[in-house]
Parts: sequence; structure tokens; C-alpha cells
Amino acid sequence: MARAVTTQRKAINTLIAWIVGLLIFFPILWIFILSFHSEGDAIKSPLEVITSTWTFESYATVQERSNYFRHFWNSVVISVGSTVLGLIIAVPSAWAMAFVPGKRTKDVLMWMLSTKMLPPVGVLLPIYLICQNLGLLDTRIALVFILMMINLPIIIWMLYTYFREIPGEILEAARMDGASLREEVIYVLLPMAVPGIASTLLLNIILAWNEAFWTLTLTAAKAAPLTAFIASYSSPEGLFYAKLSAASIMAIAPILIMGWFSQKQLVRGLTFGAVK
Amino acid sequence: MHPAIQAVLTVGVAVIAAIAYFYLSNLLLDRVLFPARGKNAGRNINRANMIRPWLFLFPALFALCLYLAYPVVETIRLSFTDRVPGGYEWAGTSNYQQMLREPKFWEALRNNFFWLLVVPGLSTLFGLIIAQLTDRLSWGNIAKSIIFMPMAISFVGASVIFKLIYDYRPAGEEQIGILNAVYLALGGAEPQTWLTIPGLNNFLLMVVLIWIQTGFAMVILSAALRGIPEETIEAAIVDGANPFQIFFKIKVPQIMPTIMVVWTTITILVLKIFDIVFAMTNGQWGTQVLANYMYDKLFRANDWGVGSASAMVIMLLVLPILVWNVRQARKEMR
Repeated sequence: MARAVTTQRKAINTLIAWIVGLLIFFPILWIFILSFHSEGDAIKSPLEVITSTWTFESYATVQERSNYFRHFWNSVVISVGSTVLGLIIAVPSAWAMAFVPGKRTKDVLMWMLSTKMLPPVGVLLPIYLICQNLGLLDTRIALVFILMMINLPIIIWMLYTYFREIPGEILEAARMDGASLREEVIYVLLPMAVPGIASTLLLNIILAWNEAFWTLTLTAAKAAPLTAFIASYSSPEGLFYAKLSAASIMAIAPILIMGWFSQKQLVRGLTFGAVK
Repeated sequence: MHPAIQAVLTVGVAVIAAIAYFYLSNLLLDRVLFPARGKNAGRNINRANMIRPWLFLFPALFALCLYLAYPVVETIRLSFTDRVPGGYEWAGTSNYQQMLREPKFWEALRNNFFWLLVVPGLSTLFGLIIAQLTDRLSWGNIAKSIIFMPMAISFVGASVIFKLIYDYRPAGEEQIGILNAVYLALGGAEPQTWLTIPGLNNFLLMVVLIWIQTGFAMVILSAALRGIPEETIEAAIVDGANPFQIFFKIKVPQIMPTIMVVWTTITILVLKIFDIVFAMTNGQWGTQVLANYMYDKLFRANDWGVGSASAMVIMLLVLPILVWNVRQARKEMR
């Protein structure tokens, strides 16, 4: 091995990497620890906090006072709904661009890329007014459709890059054997694209789950998903550390677990397939 | 009916409608408009195949236009009008003039540039350093996954976490905010209300985003580092290069395109920055940014004209980076 990395040097690097890792992880860990203590214990000095009794009472109080599960289900409905709807619309588009590329395909792709980069503030007020006129403020339906639209470019791009990896000859062969377009897509393309579609699904659920700009501006108490819930929880209950910590943990835990398993997908999606 | 069930049903209907559209439009194309039989069968098949992609692209393009085209035009219009009882009134550039007179606007503009300067650079730099440190370490992968973790957290969630870290309690009481506890332990005289210290508080808000984005930069850059051909590094070692020279003169130039991807991705994110400021300081104490300034104007001051004007400013600021980025992507696509 010509690479001049000695064992000792490796050990030092590993150590530094772990220290950085723990440093970065520390805020999450600290909130986690705080959330399992009573309000009285949470305001003791850090060492005393760890040694005092561990309890679930903060979690129970948060659920009781602000109905955590309603916001949780809102998040689920909004993120899954917008993703499924987006996928249904995106699969044919991605199919068209990946397997029947035309002169304009590249332009369409670039246009989609640019729409995703455009800041949502530019369209906020008109969309807010439309929702107001249709009586859709503070409803899950409005958020499902809006999040579907804002994430559609990413879904299409992701599917497009995955579809591109599938050789077109296989589809052609199916066509030669007399498969109709519907059969070709359902029995040949989709089974091969399952990993890609699953990654897209996962990525998009995470993005929709974390979306805060639209959820903060378009929802109030009823339809608020977890992002809006935690933002509103932080001010009035800001002095109750244990409860705030419990609320934060409950808001981020589901997505943290999903994120752990989907690093690659997140990276690929957020760079529009530039990094695989 | 419970509203949540209603939402699920609506989504179901929309899904079925979308599938029906694709199925029926395709059927219409093949059976009715250009049937693959009769004397024009060959020509019909060709025509159908030309139209089909657009048929399939239509719903997506339509949805994106619905989301963009009308609202952008409407925002431009609103920025030149004032709301008067019963309607709108042409206001010329008075909204823009009023905006330019407000010190809060200039503060927001200045802070946006400050964010732009600091966050993408530092996130990329930290990401690069950690990627280099953990390159080819057998125990590095778990550490990397942990460093990546904040990436999955929403900005609002991260803000709430850091609010607790920066928390202040009066002198004499236990400091449960970690920053104050550390500050006192290191010999600081008084606990500080960190988020109200002008200048520093901006930086403390940026730390949240850097915390989130470092892992993102690291994962991408470490993949790029692994992709560097071994020979180039071996050649440099044979020529007697020291580790720093290898890093800066051999490795960094080779992964420069990836560094640019990371940098621009984070830059675009920073230009939209809203949630962190909204959740942590709400633009008080000199931490205002443009998106939150706009939110204030729209929903607190109810001044749609000035709000829309500031939205236009954000869009104009994004435009050059957007164009550059799209050009870059176009080049890469061959």
C-alpha cells in the first residue's frame, strides 16, 4: 500500500472523527435526556439531570395538552398523500423523458430544475389567497396538493435518473413480444424500477415531512403537521424544558429513523441526481 | 365525516383521476385519433408516438405551471398595487420606495448576504475536512452516519433544539442552556442572553444550518474522495509531496466539480432561509432576513404591497445563481 497512512495516524483520525460525530450528535442526545425527566429535574445542573430519575411523564403531558397524535397523523397524511399523488403523476412523465427523449426533453428537465430552485416566497401570497377563496386554509387537502406540486420536480428528476439506468432494449423486447404500453410499464418497467421508486418515495416523504414554510403559513391548529406543531409549542411552553424536549423528540424521532436509512437517497435527490 | 378521512379520500380520488387520465388519454390516442390499422397505419403509429410523451408530461407540466406561472405574475402585480377597501389600486413603485426607506429591509438584505457568505462556505469546508479525516477508515462509517443525522431533522426542529442550547437563566440559577454552562465553566463572568447580542446572534443562527448541512456536504465529498484514482496520489507520494500538498494540490482539484455542486446546493437553500429565523428570533435583535421580513409584512403588518415587493427582491437575488446552476446542469447532461 503506497498510501502513507500509518496505523497510528488512522487511530488518531478515527478518534477525531468520533469526537466530531459525538459533538454533532450531542444536541440531539441532550434533548433526548432532558425529555425523560420531570420538569423539576430538568432545570438542575447537567450532571444532576443525568443522575435524577428517568420518567415518561413529559411525553404523557405533551400528548394530553396538545394532542400530539393529531399532528402526527396530519404529518403522515400530508407527506404520504402528497408523495403518492406525486409519484402517480411523475412515473409517466419520467417514462416519457427517459425512454422517448425528444428535442425538448432537456429543456423540460432544466425548467423543472429551475422551478425547484425558485424561492417559495415568490408565490406565497397568491397561493395563500387562492386557498382563502376556496376555503382551504388550514386543511390537509391544500397542503397535500401544494407539497405535491413543490416536490414534483424532485420526484420526476429522481425517477428520470433511475429510469435512465434501465436499458431501453428490455422494454423494446417486451413490445416486440406484443406487450401493450400498459403491460410494458406495469410488468416490465416498474418491477425493475422498484428500488428507484422506493428511494424516491422515501426521500419525498422526508422532504414533505420536514416542509415548514408552507405548513407554517397555511395551517393553524387543525391541520398543522409536526413542523408547525413544534414551532408553535416552542413559544408558550418555552420555559418548560422537559416538555419542550419531549415535544421536539416526538417531532423529529420518526424522521430521524427514516433518515438514518436513506442517506444515499437524500443526497441523490437534493443534488438532483448529480451525486449518486 | 372526520376531516382527515376527507383528506385521504380526496387524495384517493385524485390518484384515481390521474391514473384514469393516463389510461384513457393513451387509449384515445391509439384507438381513436391514430389507430394502427387501415392504410395509414404506419404514419399513425409514428404520429401517436410523437404525441404520447407530451400527453404523459402534461399533468406534471400543468401542475407546475399552476404552482408557478400564475402566482409569480400575480406577485409582480401585487407589488405594484395597494390594497384599498373593496379592491386594489395601482401604486406605481411606491411600495418599493417604502421598502427601500425601511431600515429593517436593509438589515434583512445585509443579513441575507452575511448568511450567503458564511453558511455554504463553512458547511462545505467542514464537510470536506471531516470527509478527508474519515476517508478509508474502517470505523468511520458509523461516525459518518451520526454526523449525517441532523440532515434529516426539519429546520424548525433543529431551531427548537438550539434554542434550548442557547438558553439563558438569570445569574445565580443553574444554567441549563449548554452554551451558558460551558461559558461559565470556562470562566465567563455572567450568563449571556446569546440570541440578543447583535452580530453574534446572527452567527449563532447560522450555526444551526451549518450543523444540518455539514453532514450533507461530508457524505457527498467523501464519496468523491473515494473516487479519486489511486495512481495520482501514489505518483505524488513518489514525487515527495507532503500530506498537505497531496490534499490541496492533488485531491481538491480533482473533486472541484463536486465541491461546486455542494456549494451551490447549499447556497440555494440559504437564499430561501426562513424557518430558522422564524422559529428562533423572529427577526428581532438584528437578525431579520428577507423571507421573514416578507412574512412580517404579509401576515403581521397586512401590507401586501411591500410584502410582494420584498418577495420580488428575493426572486431577483436567486435568479443569477439559478441561471448559473441550470447552465452547469445542462453542460453535465451532455
